[in-house]
Amino acid sequence: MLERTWGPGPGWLGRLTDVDHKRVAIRYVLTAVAFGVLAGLLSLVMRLQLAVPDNRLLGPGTYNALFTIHGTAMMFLFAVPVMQGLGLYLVPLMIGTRNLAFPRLNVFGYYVFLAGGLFLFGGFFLHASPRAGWFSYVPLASLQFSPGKGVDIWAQTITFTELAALVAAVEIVVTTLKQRAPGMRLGRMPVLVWAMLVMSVMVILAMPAIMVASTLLAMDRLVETHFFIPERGGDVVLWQHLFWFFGHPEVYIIFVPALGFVSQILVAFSRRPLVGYPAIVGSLVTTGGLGFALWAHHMFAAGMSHGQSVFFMVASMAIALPTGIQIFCWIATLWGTRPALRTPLLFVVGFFLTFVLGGLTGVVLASVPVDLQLHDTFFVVAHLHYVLIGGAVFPLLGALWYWLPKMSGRLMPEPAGRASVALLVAGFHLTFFPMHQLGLEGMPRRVFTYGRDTGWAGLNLVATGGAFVILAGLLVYVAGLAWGLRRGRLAGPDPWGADTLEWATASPPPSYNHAPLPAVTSRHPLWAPAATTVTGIRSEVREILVTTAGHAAPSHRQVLDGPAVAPLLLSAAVTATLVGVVFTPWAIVWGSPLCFAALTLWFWP
Amino acid sequence: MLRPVSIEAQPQAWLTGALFGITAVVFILTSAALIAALVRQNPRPPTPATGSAQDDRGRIRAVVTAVGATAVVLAVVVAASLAAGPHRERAGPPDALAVEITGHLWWWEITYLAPPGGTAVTTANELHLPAGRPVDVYLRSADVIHSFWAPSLGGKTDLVPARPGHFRMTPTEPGEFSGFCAEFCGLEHARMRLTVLVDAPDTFERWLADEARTARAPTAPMEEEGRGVFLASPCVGCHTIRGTPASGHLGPDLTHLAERRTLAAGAVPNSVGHLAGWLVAPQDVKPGTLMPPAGLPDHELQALVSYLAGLR
Amino acid sequence: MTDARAATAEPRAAPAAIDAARLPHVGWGPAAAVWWAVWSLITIEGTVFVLLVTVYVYLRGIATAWPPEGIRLPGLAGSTANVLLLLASVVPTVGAHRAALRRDRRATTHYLVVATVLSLGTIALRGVELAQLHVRWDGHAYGSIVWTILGTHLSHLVASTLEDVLLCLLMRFGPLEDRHYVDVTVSALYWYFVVAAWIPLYLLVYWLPRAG
Repeated sequence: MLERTWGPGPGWLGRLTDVDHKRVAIRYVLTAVAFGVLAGLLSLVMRLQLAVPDNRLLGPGTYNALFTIHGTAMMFLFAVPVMQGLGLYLVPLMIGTRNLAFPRLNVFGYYVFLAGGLFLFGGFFLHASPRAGWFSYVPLASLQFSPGKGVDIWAQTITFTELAALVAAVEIVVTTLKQRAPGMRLGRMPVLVWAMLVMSVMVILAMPAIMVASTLLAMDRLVETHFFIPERGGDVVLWQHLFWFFGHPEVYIIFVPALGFVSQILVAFSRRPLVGYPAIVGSLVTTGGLGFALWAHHMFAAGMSHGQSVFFMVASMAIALPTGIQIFCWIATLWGTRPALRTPLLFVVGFFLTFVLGGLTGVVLASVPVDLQLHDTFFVVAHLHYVLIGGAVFPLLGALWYWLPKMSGRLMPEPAGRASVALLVAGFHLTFFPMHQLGLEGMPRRVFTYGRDTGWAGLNLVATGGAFVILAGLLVYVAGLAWGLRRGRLAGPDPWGADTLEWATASPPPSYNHAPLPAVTSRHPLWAPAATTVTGIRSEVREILVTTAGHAAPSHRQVLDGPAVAPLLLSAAVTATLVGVVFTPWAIVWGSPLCFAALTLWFWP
Repeated sequence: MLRPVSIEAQPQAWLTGALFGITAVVFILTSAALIAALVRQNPRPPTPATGSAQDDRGRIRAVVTAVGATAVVLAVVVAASLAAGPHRERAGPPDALAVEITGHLWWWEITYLAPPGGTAVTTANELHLPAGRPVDVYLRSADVIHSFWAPSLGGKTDLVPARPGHFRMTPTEPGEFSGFCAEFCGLEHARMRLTVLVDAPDTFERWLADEARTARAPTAPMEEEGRGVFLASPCVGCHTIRGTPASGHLGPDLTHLAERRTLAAGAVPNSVGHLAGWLVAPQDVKPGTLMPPAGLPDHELQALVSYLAGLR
Repeated sequence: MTDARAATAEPRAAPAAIDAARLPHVGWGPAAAVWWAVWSLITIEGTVFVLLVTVYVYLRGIATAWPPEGIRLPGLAGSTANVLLLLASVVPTVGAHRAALRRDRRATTHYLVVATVLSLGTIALRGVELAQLHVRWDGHAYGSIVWTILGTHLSHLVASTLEDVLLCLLMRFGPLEDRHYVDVTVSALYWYFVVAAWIPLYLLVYWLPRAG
């Protein structure tokens, strides 16, 4: 009965209208990974171009388009959506509910994300790519210096992806606050749920800045406003402030969920609670807050006053403290527990060995005198990849290996996993460690080639070689997943002996997640004595239990939305409007009624 | 950048070295702690549900100690950074040389500002400086954001449209040093090179005096013809050759073109062959450049090249 | 891997279950998920307004004159009338809010209709305001930012008004459930935000340039 109530409708229409958070989340993750793979392939071509000096494999225009798309796609189409996707999958399971608070809204968010990604790559493959970098500084990105539709497509892709990210963030915040299992007060939430909550609040506060910035840029280009045109009262540095006020929290938005993955994996593998749970949660929150105070460390060379530079320097160094607290708590948690060195833990080890170095080079870059030398060089390219790949992608790969048995019901093959970790960690350092030295030797960023006289050729060749080792590692990883999904050993509910609620239900979970709905009395529900359950929730409708935000005391029952075609229609209307606006401002006039009609269809009972 | 040749770059270099040392030590210690954590075996592994409160006191003490040590290290790093802080924004002493650099797509316009009673001298892409004397560098942009960076001589400063910038530097020894544009500025950002040539003070004064002279008059008939070709062509709309009517300001000043080591801001060496190639097909040399092809018949092109090659 | 759990699985009777059947089927105010969703939206849009204010102040800070030379100060007649109308519109909104809490269909419908009419008036007056700005968006950054501030707020007026129209129709014609009354209450919350956000924006655009 529960499966009939909560399951999808039949056929392809059933799949299109399905509102189950797990199935939508899997689509999110797969789509994000696909965009990430495309962006990664672009970077391989870039590395081929840079492998030797004075290379003519790519011209400057093509190279500039490649690194623009690489950065834009990795940040907006891969990193944030994949983290949110995993959150949308795991959070309802971990807090003991059956779906997100607004199931149809989640579907809408996914389709808008998909449309945005297709729009950007469509532009790229149709020779209308942006070429001004993922950060799109003005005046280079203004109409005068970037004619054509490329930057407009970039700006509108932002609108799509930020809308989707905000939708997912609101889902996670509201679901986490209102649908936790009875007894799961805030101090008993799994660390990953805290991480997703912090990340989602950051999204809510940071994404508006990039929406405003990209809209002002689009208006400058399309309807001749002058926000960034100095001759008419505008200012080019204003762009940098707006962009980086979003841009710096953005990297923590990507990083904080990864910290949550690490905590969960470590607890399961150490077979003991975290040392310093309050400190770790406090560090996540502090990191999230402090992340908003750092933005101008991207602008030390742009002409700030000494006092302003000092503030941003001190803040940028201070954020090492909450991160350090987590690192030390994790080491203290692992200490002496002799965890099994399986793939998820090995990726966590890879995270430690990589991210810590990246965080330290971040402290180096935070120092203003040093930054004035290293800013805009390959040293920064090294740093950012150390923290993003080391700090986010390695934990992500470990998390996928760890949770795929739950999602698919099968364990992934350890030999492939271990081989992929070795190749990825080795390949990563081979690619990016030399870039520190290249930056010290003066190699600027965003250059499509360099002269023989610079002496940079050797290290660049090594870096390019390393990129192919990374590719090999990813291929082995994917091959392992493919094999595991087909032929892996059946996982059962809890193959890792873990502690959180998602491991209490079958693998893969049924559409209704848990039956009956659980209640908890501990931070580690599966390790604690049997807790009570919830009865009286109807199974013939999509009913769930709503609890209070702080103490998770039962509050009322709520019937959630079921499958509907309205989210797809609204996303189509929004897509048509946003794409149209790139070509004519009148698209607002005919697009808005379409959107309103779709919204009416959605909300009318 | 770790072999500084200016007073301002020296604290940056030692600070960089110090921070790298701290980075290495912290990384090694943290990694060692992680390995130890994985390898060691507790005497009695705690059971999860009992949450080992007793056992954790030692661990929490260790964490607090590590966090305290981190805070101390960070405070030291902040203090060192403040001590090494750039004093570049302050204008230099009265005897400082004053140079204005304007960034263009994709070349550097360099003007030695007129000293009292003297005249300004404009050149392009090569910055000559006297050793031991401070120079105030004023920065402007004619189009998009660029960034002036000569690693051996100090950090970088952006050239931002409508926001004039400034820094001071004091080169300490003669030599030739590479410079780059360090802010992505479009198609040929990678080839907007700058060379800084630091000379002994009297060598510099001689160079500056030479540079202030108007263009060398043609001596051979070919050069004379080339001068005529130049003045009759659209070249005069963008370029200046002092001593001739040509006074365009969209492209580099060519008065002493033959003295420069490279053409097109470091794209190719400055030789007769490369100069001819640049004039005939600039897009082949530097795709995206704003310079149009000369579009001249062979004989006139040869004359023009010999004239330009004589502008010492 | 599973021995840790085995060690703690003691046979004992599970504690008494939590019976949700007795719980209400709707929540009001902070108990409702949709209340938190609207507050999230208020946070997002509020951040947008704060950013636009920051852009305004920034651009004014780098300008030599504000409004720039040759541009008249924005007109006070339409704008002040609109502020008063916006404040007045809070009254029927509060009425609808309270009536919805009582689940009084007739009163809710009545107040919603009045509120909708008043908010349509604010949209019309916003058009007057734009005409009385004496500047287009494409001459100077000053024009660009004031048009953007007024336009962004206008989009909120329009969206809220359309939502009110839908709610009016639902109240009058639709199959009503309790959660629709909750929707009316959170929609009222959003309108309070739209009105409250306008006060500092109004002072910024119309009075700060006059203060010199």
